[in-house]
Amino acid sequence: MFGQELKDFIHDYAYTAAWWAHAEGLPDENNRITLDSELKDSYGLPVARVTYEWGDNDVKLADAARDKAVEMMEASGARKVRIGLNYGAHAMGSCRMGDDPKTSVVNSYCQSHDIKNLFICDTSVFVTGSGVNPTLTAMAIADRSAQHIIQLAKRGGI
Amino acid sequence: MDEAPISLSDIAMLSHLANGIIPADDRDSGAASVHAGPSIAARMRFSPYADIYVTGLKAANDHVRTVFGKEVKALSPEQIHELLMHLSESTPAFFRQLRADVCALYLSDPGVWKRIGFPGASTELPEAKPLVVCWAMVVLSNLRCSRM
Repeated sequence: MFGQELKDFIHDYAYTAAWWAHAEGLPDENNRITLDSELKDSYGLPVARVTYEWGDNDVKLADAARDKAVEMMEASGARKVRIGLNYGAHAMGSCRMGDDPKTSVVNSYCQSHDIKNLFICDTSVFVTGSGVNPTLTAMAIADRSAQHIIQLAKRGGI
Repeated sequence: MDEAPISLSDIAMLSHLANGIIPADDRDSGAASVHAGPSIAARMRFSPYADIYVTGLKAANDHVRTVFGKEVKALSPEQIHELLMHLSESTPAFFRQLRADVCALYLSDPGVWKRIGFPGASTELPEAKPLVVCWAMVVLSNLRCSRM
């Protein structure tokens, strides 16, 4: 959009309302972060390659949310409805938590299965993408991890 | 990007493109009211999107020369619109960045806020008052913290 259409859109701002639908993207083993085999950063190290594609359920969720939002807007008397699609905001997953080192990266205390003095305390340990903002959960997980580190350190466990 | 200075023709191109993105109408003179084109040209070299701008400007100049056969300042508003439509397809990264920068400059003008009705009562404050309000809020928050 540009030109007069864009300018009209900007000046309609005071009369604009928006729905924002939150939904959960289901985990998919094909969605992953790997080291790029070709592209290197300024230090000569391989950059991270993010591979991500929406699954069938993700697409259906987005479609349903979009249709319902349009229905509500029109029922509210909206004169013009614009549809946009946001592809997400919060990164989660890639170092998922679990008991089995074969299928997970960290244990329930965010401790790496492979490197015992490495604790990963952020949303990367989530086993699925949450449908809402993840910060409080990440803080709770980090707090639990910190308490565990204190106990381990007292026992000389790390 | 190379170290060559921004040329007058680049400033002219950016100005015409910016004014095509938010055109003049009976509300105001659009992007021209905030000098969006010259402002973008002045900071283009220091922008993280410098390469995108260089690529886009070349595409714009090529299109104007080969399709219209005249200088950008001689194009009609309809031809500028056609040029922008072409750039949105041929160099989408440039088009999107230019549009974002033009909108940001346009929306940085308190006069525009008033015309749009955003962000409300604060647009009525004289320039100095928001600083006083911020200072007062800092003092108050410090007082609150010191009592905790």
